[in-house]
Amino acid sequence: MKIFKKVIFIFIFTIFLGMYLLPLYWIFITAFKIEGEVLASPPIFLPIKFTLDSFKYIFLSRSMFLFLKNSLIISFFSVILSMVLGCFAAFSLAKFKFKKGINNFISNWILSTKFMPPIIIVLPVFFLFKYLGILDTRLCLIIAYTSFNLPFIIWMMKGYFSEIPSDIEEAGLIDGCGKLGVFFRIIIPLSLPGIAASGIFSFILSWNEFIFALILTSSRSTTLPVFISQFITDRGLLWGQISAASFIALIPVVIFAIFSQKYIVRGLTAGAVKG
Amino acid sequence: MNNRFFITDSKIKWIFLIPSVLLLLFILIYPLIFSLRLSFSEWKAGSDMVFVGFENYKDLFTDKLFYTALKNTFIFVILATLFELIFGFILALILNREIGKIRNIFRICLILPMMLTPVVVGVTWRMLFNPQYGLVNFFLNITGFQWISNPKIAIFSLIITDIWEWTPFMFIIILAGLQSIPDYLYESASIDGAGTIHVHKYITLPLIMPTILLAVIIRSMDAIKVYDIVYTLTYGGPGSSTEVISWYIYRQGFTYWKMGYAAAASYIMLILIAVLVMLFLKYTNKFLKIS
Repeated sequence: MKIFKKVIFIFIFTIFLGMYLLPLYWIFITAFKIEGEVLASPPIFLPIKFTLDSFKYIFLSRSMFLFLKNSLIISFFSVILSMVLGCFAAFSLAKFKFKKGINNFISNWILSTKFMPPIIIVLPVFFLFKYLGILDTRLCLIIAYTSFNLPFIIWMMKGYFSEIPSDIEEAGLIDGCGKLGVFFRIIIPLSLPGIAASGIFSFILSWNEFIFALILTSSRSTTLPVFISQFITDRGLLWGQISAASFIALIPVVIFAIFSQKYIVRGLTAGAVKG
Repeated sequence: MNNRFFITDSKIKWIFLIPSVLLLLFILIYPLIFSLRLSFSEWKAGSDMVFVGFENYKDLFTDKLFYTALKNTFIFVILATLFELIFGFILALILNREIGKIRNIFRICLILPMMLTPVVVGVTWRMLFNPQYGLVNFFLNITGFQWISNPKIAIFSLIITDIWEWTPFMFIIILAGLQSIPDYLYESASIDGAGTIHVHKYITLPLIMPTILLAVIIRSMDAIKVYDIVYTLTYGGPGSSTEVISWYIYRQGFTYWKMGYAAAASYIMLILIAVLVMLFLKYTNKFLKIS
């Protein structure tokens, strides 16, 4: 009976893992296949010949490098900006007393932005940025991504800051640190793992974002997801190149997911679990 | 005490908070107000905004395509969330006891699909669903079955993709819930001679219910927003068979440039979501009080 259970377990486990790893393997392998084997039927799982043609094509003929650079710059700066603003705001909400309703109000507000569909926001924001004359610049995406990372970061960091016992802060105050000193010398160093985790999580969110990038930017300053989506509409059959671009887009996501897996569950449920 | 610090307590908390609040007002709240005004106006390129009252809303409620979009969104949200819940729950039950040693490998493999760029997920499944050389038809041993270009099947292909992407989320949340149930409850049940079905019915299910509700709320609210995989997998087609609400607003706004109309549709979507969230929360609170 026990062996029987074990066999069933291993069977389900393998099928499940296969279902998830095979599509990823397929992107990887298609990116390196020679052109004739990409469309082969039956599909070729273990190609003998490998080529970098697809990568050469997307970098040399489709200026992949520009979009990669855009994606990196936009994600990086929006994370830094929202991290700085968000940590200050979270410190204020976690460690100072406000009038009774304010804490709750802001928390609920943050909860509600999580449920807000991006398509509803992007329509008026399009006109706002058009009016300001910053459509199709990296700046407009940095501002947009900062504002939707911000509620998430405030929520996460508020949780981390509240977990720090107030005895430590009081000790700091008695030793003559000052409120700012407490924040920079005690709170920030103690919550570095939390800062790293929410930073990584919002980096991935910005990196993956699609609707804002699609509507607010068009050619010069657009990001990788838009670049990949353009492949599929105008030349739907170049699977080798689509896979190569996707493969590059997935590299940072996979690396970050592996390093921060413990915190990601907390991130995914942020805003729904009051904490 | 206070004059030891160069900024007093009451000021510093506002100085820290206000930049964030201003930015959020600027990007998230002002646009909503603007959009409300837009929804009562007609605005064509090159001319001024003209107030038209409830005209946009009236047109919207007579538009068949809008109802199709609503219907498709509901089919998508209900089926995707339901199957993700069922698969996630079953997997969590099976793997709950055994998962110890391999947890870390397993967790990485499961977290990956949720973190993947949704555009890439759509593109990948478009490749897998291809009738001639796609892997799905290869493994099911059928040739030429149209997953994406058949109007009756396309929405289900979308749902399958979403299930693939988000079942791990349900699984992880439910597993966490299962593992927080203390072992002694199961031990005492087995001493009392309860069978597997009874144990799950009277111990597992009541204790896991709050977690399940939470997971369902998060997932369904995310599924309502579905857009990226629609764009890359089916492009809203064939015909209007995968026209979901986000896609409808996008097309009305940025393909036909009917901005007032798109804003009106946005507000209907917003109200729908608000009602759903309130119903969910009310139901959840009631349920949590009972149990």
